[in-house]
Amino acid sequence: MLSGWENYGTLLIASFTHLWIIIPAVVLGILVGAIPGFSAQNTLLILLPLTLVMDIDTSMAFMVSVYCASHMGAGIPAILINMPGTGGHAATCLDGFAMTKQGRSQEALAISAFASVVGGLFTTILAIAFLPFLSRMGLYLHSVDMVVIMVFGLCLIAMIATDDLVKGLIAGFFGLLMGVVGTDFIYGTPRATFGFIELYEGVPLVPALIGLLAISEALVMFERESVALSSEEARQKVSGWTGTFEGIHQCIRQWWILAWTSFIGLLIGIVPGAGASIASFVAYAQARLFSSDPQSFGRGSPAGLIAAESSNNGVTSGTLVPLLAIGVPGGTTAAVMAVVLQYNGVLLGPRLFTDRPETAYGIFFSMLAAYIVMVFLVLPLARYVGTIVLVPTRVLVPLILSLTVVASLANRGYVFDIYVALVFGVIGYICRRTGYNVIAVLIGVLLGPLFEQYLLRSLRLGQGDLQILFSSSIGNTLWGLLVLSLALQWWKGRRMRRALRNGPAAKETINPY
Amino acid sequence: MLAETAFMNRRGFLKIAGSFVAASAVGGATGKGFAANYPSRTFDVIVPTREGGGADGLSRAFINSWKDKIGQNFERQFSPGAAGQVGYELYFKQREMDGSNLLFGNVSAEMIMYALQKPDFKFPEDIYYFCGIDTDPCGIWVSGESPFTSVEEVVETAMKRPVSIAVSRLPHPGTIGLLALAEATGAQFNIIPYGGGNPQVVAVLNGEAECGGGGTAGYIEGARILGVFDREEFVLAETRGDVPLINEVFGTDIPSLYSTRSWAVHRSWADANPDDYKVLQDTSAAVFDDPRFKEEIVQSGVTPWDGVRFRDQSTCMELAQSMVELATKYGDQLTAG
Repeated sequence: MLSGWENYGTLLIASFTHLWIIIPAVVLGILVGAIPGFSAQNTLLILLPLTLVMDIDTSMAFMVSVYCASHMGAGIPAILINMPGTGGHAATCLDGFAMTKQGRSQEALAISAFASVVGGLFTTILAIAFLPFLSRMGLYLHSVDMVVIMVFGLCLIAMIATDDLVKGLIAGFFGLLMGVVGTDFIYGTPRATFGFIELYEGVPLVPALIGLLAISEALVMFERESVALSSEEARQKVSGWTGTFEGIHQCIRQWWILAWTSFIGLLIGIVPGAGASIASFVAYAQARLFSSDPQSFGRGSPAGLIAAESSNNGVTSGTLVPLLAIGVPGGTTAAVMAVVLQYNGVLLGPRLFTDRPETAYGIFFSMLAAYIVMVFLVLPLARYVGTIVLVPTRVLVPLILSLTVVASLANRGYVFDIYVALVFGVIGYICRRTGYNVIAVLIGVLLGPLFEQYLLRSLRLGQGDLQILFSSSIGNTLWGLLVLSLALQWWKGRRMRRALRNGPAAKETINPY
Repeated sequence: MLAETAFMNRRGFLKIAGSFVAASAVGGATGKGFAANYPSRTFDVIVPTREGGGADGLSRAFINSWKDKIGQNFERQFSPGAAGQVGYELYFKQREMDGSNLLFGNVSAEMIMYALQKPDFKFPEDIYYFCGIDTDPCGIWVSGESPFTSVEEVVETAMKRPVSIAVSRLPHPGTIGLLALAEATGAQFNIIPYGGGNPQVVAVLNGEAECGGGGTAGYIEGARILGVFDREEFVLAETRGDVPLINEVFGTDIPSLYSTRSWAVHRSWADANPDDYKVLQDTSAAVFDDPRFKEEIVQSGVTPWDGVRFRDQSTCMELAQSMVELATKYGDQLTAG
């Protein structure tokens, strides 16, 4: 085990000796993250022959840098063109793209970069400081507890559907229904696949997200001149550095949300298989719940964007914990890292921390160095990248639609996935035009399969007895917190409605989603 | 249903373009003409599981030696899903039967999938498994903190109340072993599929499931193997220690149950091109004598070296056939129907 500040300092300095590989890896990570459909996992797989021949510390520095930077890069298309490249960035679109439409793209990109970096740094430091404890943490959470965490995420459907609860719930259930397409988790029986083997693994997530958000948005964009609602105002906002400074200021002002939601990301990331999708929605729901201005969420709230971005970067530190501590990768990218570690004869598990502490902790220190590099590389870019809002929609929309084709195809290589994206694009467009909540559909599609997986597993463990859902102390505590959250939400809503009835803003009830 | 034109990637494009160029170059050469130069291009391999798993590491180590012996490189595509069905259907429906398209799969688990899910190909008519690589004996294991110290205790408890056993997936030889043991002893096992080896391991380590069932080759620090479904000997005794054979403990007659990863090829191509097929068989068998292969397996720890052994076509096909029969026998318990 590593102990003493001197050792930590030595490792931190050692991680900076890998700057020569960290800097290009960060650039590469941002680029692949910014191309929807590509991911750190695909990139690392392609580059596996290269990483296998590097020495283990250099190769891990390279891989964690690509991984962290790709998480940050994926926020860029989500903010600028409403196109999340991964499930973990769907929540980024909610407020990120809303800010873009208000001409605040530069501010949104700065928030995304700053929240990602600080969230990542904070959780990496936590991981280094409490690694032995955190490694046990993943083992404390059982399937039953995960069911409650999923319900936390699913409750967001009800939260965002307050303007038209019936339509919101219909949309949410439609999403959940889409989520059950594919083979069931116990027997592998195909459900609603209509004979398409491409649907056996469920509705492909990236094409569905791209369709629901990006294609439907592009279709709506056809109806106006520019992405930003007021192009002149947008021109003023993207020129100069004001937006960048405003974004940083917002993050510093709302440091508590940043810290809290990145911590949520870290905790959920530790649970193998959970991942950024659930983390970002749970964090978003929590930020909204405790916000003094919940109505601004979905309308370009910096707090909403901070929550989504810091949590999904918190996940990056979390997923590495079970990999190193018990030899179980917390996600697909971690699985690729496991290949490299094992190839180099590194024995994963508790003994890693006693036998090779410099490797175990060195990975987190490299992550720390990568985040520091990102501050200097990414923040200055916000000003220039943000100008995309000035591109006329007649140019931008065909570009977005072309990109959706590439993004849909990139993940699995099936032409079928392009059709999935188009179908979901039409569904999203109809939802937008008829007042059904697109985000509610999306949450159902994203979290439905995870919820079903944990629920079925729990019920199988309890041999069909529903009491299993209330059999764990952690789970019961979470149930209690869930009830409290919902009660708090109801109470705040009631208070706000009363205030609105008596105030001048009573008429403003447009659904932002 | 997998549309014939559904998959078109960079390689697909290059393949078509390359075919045109090659066809013009040889001026209408026949298939025979190509056969003399076999293998004439990079092998495309479908792996019906996720990257990062055992099949990934094992196939990589094998390829690193095999490519020098056969004179061509290998490009792998991972197509997981539906217990391997996605990868197999992709292989049989969208890959040319030209000897340059191979499949690397888990014979035991995927033949159970074949029997239960009835995918769109025929066994044994369509496929030859020709080079089995490893042996992963199935058994029952527990975490280091488990109160169970022997397989007798597990069965004894399971005769009084259901004992939860985590498996990676239901269509697996390990599950069949558990069902056979339950049938023979009257034990009640609550078998829970976790959808992969990693979540299965976590479930056993965190105590959510009382035991783990399935392969014993994967190293899990602190775990204890209580018994294996092997009729003769525990092949991993050298690395995993002495483990009782379940048949000996309970006097049962359960067949040996193990997983074997193997290379496979379209049978019609192999039957039509016996000389080329022999090249595949001979060069793959030669990999086992290559010290580099051993070194890589030992270094990566992807599977214990004492479990690595060559299985030829007839042994692999026999194993596959026996798995189809066992899966058919226990079909009702392995499926929702």
